[in-house]
Amino acid sequence: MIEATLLFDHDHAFFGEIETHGGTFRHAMLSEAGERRLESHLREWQVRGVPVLREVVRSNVSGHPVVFFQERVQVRTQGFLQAARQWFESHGIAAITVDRDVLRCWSHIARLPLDPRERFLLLISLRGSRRADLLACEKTLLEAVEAADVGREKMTKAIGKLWDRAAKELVAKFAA
Amino acid sequence: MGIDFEKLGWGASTEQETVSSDSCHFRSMHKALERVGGGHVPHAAVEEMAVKVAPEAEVLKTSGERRTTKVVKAVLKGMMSHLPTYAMPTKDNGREWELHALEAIHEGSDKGGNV
Repeated sequence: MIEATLLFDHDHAFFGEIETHGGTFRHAMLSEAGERRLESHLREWQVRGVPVLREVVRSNVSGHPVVFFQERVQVRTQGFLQAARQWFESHGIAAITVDRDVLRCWSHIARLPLDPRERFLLLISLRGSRRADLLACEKTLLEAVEAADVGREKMTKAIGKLWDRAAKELVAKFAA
Repeated sequence: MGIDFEKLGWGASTEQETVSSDSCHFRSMHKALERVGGGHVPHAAVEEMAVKVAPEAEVLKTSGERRTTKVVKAVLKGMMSHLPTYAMPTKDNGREWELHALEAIHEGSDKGGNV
């Protein structure tokens, strides 16, 4: 089964998506912010594996002290997703694994003129929705994307007209 | 219970980022000159006009983006009222919402659910 895990920083900025299959790494797509924050780690993981902190309780004469040790989980193993999630969590990065329906909705949400927190809010809400509701939501999200495209087009035209008017004024001035 | 978009602040305009720079306006001016088939216009005059028009272009951009955001949120409003409310903040308790959302993430995580 293919899983998509969406990554966000503590300000809800979108860092990108990691695709896994049964927990095994397949590929990652990072946003610009995500590249800055995570690219070097992902490269390192592919070579050395994901660092994971484990703990064990050791019995000795003085009691049961907890001992921590670090091990590396290779990206081509089923433990990758869990290890990566643990790493993200300890580094203040929200990792939200979603199914295909929610992922499709997210691709629409990402195109909407909303702030990062609003997008994150929508994603979390949709993730908790029933499938039937999700399909209806996707339709609405598409309508919103279309409305946004129309709005942007109108704005671009209006700004273009403004520059054209100024250009004509300049041309007339220097043609004279 | 549905979501109160007014409380969320979704009904109101959001702050818009200003991405345009002087060089961007200068480029816009040049493109417009190409569109209207302008002849030779001195560089200084192009620059001067770009600086003059830039504030109005910014206003159009900001108001256009605000309008678009409002329309989009109006479209989403109906949908939001059908979504689970546990992750819904009010404008004043965004922090509370964040905690709810994180709780939801951890709950799912503990259950090995869809997280």
